[in-house]
Amino acid sequence: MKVADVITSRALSHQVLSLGAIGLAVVVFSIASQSQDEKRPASDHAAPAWSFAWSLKMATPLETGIVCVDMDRMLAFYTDVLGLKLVADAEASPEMSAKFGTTPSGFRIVRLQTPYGERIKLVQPKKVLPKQTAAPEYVFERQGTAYITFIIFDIHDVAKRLKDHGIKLMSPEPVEIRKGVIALFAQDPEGNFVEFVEYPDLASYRPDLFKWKQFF
Amino acid sequence: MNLRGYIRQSKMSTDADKSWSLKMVSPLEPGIVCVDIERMLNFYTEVLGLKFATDAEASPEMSTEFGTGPDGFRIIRLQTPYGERIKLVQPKKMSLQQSKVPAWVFARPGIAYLTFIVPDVNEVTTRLKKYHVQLMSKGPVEIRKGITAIFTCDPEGNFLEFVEYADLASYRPDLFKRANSIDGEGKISKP
Repeated sequence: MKVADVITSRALSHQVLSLGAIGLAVVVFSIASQSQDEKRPASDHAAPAWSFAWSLKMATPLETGIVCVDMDRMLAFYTDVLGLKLVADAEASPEMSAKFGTTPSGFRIVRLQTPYGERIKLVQPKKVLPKQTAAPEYVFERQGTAYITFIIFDIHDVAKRLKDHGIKLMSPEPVEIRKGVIALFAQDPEGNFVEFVEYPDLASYRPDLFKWKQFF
Repeated sequence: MNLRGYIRQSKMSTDADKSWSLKMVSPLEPGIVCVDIERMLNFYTEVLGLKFATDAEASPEMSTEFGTGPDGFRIIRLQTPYGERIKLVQPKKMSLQQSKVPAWVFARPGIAYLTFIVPDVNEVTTRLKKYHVQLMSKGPVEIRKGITAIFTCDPEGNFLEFVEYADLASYRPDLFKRANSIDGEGKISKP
């Protein structure tokens, strides 16, 4: 055996030993953490160990559902005017929809996606059509899930787009609602309120989004 | 070049009308107009565990000009674990009528519900039952193969849906490919 071979085999055995030690440590640690996990109730598995308060665990972005009287009119607004992307168009059977508590005769559901990744679902029940309610004079006069807000780059660009397409606005022009924050409420074709807001200093509104260097 | 300059320039190079799209800079935010904001706050923070972000008031002048209400309002911002903010709003003075919960979720037109896609719908249902939250079906329903969901109501009759996907990657392939685009191009591969 040459000197070089001895050195290599020594180095190798060192490596094998240290790898073995690491492996053993991993096994011991995983057994220890497993037994800890077993003590916890099953429902708390996904929560970090330091979190005591229950919270929803979300897997994907929030989705908003809009029940429509005339699906195609609504689809035209959200895709052609706002430029949301169509991702799916599906139908549900009367059996499922009745069991689910949504509507007795089935429904059509169109999924749209915003540029930020949330999905907006347009739903139209079959046969039993909802009655369209008149939009109130003020946005906050209507109780319930009344509006969705898009936080965008350029409020004047959006306002121009809406005006060009004859969309009903709740104020003639965008309004400075706080120092530097400019916003505008509009109505979709079925009187649902859609708000657009521009923040001059987004990092102070959403510091959490800037921790991970979302901007280039 | 600052961000807006970059966006303006990128817009100029494209067909103005057809390719126009909203350019969002932060997650979507639904707004809920409340009859009793404290009761609603309690539900969303205590039962669902959303995080309280801010509590603010708006003046009658601003609120009137903005078209939201004549007497000002209070607005509470909550944040979901995925990062969207849910706003609870209560107008001042205006007396709001709480609408009745219809027999069917889709009987009420408009922005009728919010959907939370969760890893474990049974766990959420147990939580909701513990707090006596109204459910629209006896338990979670398998709405398509591998997709289980349940509709519930918040204290003021707004519908919330909780959905569990067995195969999330086939529902949202985009989330598994790359991070979301912030420049609003939103190229999406169809599932």
